Amino acid sequence: MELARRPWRPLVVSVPFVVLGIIFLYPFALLTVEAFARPDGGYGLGTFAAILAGHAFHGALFATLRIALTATAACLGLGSALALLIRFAAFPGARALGRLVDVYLAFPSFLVALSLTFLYGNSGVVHTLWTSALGGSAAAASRSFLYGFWGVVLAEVTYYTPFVMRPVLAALDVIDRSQLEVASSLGERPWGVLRRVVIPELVPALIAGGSLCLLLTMNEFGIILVMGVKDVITLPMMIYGKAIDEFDYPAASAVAICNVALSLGLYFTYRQALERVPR
Amino acid sequence: MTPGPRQPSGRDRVPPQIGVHALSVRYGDHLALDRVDLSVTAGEVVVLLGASGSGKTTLLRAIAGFTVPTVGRIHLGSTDVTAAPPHARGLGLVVQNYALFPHLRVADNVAFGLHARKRPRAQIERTVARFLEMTGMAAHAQRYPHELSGGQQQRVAIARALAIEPPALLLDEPLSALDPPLRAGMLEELQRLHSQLPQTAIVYVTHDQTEAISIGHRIVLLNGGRIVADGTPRNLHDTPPNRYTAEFFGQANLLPARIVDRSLEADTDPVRIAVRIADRTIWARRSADAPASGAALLCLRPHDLQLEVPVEGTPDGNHLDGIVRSAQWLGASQRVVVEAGSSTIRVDRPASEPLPAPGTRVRVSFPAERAVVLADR
Repeated sequence: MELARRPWRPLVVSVPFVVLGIIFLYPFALLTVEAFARPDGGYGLGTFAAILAGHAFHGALFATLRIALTATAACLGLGSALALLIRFAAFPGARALGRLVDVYLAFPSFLVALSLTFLYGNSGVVHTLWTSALGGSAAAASRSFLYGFWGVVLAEVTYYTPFVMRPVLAALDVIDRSQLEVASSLGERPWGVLRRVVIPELVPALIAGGSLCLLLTMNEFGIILVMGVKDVITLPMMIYGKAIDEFDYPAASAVAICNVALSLGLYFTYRQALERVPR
Repeated sequence: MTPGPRQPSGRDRVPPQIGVHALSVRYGDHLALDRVDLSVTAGEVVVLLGASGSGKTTLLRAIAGFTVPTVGRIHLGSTDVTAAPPHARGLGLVVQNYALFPHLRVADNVAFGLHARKRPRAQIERTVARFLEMTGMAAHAQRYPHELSGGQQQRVAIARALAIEPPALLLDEPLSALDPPLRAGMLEELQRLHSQLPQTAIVYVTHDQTEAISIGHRIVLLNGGRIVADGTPRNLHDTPPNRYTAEFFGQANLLPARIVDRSLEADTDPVRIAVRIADRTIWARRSADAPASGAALLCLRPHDLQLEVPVEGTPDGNHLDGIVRSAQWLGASQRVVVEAGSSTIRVDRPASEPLPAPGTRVRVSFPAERAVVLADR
């Protein structure tokens, strides 16, 4: 009856599936096939076994997780603190600062990564300050800091902190102020109100912002590439190296599949964590 | 609330639980509270009644510590708390939207203030159980707020405020988010709770006069940041001190009148007074603030008036003749609007009486003790 009146409906419904299939599923299927392809033309787990057994993969996986977890933790701390300051410390321009976060999120990541080299790069402000503060002999130490693990973390924190601030600011906007007043009337001091009322109510926003941050930092490629960091090999950098430098597409595809599995695992953990939060 | 819990003489003897002295609150150019004085004794239920913007919530927030007064002092018992932060005042607060903590179960919500006070665990458990039992929420202790109805959430909010055993409970429009039938039930519930905690003073903010009458030992009526009336519900209803009180409280008929020269009065009763309305002399009671002479208002409550058939040549007495303009059946009663000279008089009668037809000539009569002369301000 419904179909008889609207015969075009199945066609309309199928369009998004077809588009999704062409732009996402087909390339991913090609990648998967490549990862399982054997040199003799058959299929197997040989490429995976070789990759997973290699020290390079273990190192890249460890570096990826270490950078992602450290940067996410720092983003959560800094993002929450800044969001709380913007909403609760009544200072002129607080609202404008909140809106600036939205603008920052709209920046293309490559542009932001490029601008970060002016801040953290060889001729960057941070490098100059570091060198001038510690003297010429500290230049080498500065380089090893800025072009190593902490340099990447610092750059990622700079770029991804607003990804935590945005959901936290939104959550702070909907917290009922009378809850804070009632908590205060019940004898709780301001820090106690923050600890026992505000932060627990921010948990869904922190899970959302933190998960997004973790996913993005785990797959971060542009910042590391544009900054020219040589010593830190993450999974995305390993994929790039295997595919572009070594032309080893099966290995690159196998690492990419592992990277996707890691991201999906994280995503499902995030969904489960969010469902456990009482709201 | 239980009638007559506090006698005025008792109030004078007992130091007030809450004392507000010449309190003013100014927001920029707007004076939200203007030299307000208020005292609430232990066990007393004081209702702050007023229209939106009258200053009633500002006064409550100042007592709670959320609004900083521009001038004036606030005392809790003998302690000056004017500069004390809210967490140091120890007052229970219940707000309109309940403000339960959504991430905490019912029992943890009730225990919140006790944890803030670092009470021993065993004492917290005992107190929480006691107040959940008292509010009828013991069976819901392990639920989250979003799993409760509005009425149940309000019970938890009240249990949470009472659990810290405050000397005074501040209720800010606590029932306005509830449906009318539920509201009546919660009013009874509050009365029952207060009878179990007879020493707890209650300051109850509302714009609803029915709530105010049913729960208040005393009603403080505010308008434009000032207290315009302060008295028992019956006093304010029967003898409103001024026009605003009469209009806000009970929708009184207010007829312009002129006070008869007292020297011409034959009656020597200091409470009774004679006024002229439309060439007729009317006897009435005088309110405390009524002027000694000149223009005044005659306050007549719609349900105190009788409709009679006019008789020609009747001498002076407490009646006014007029014509029925409209008559409306309202279920439990009927409302008749009578035009008497330049005045319009609303009369509420039992529904069982025959409904008079518009245009009928009628006489509106009333006993002198149910008519009040008050100042026209």
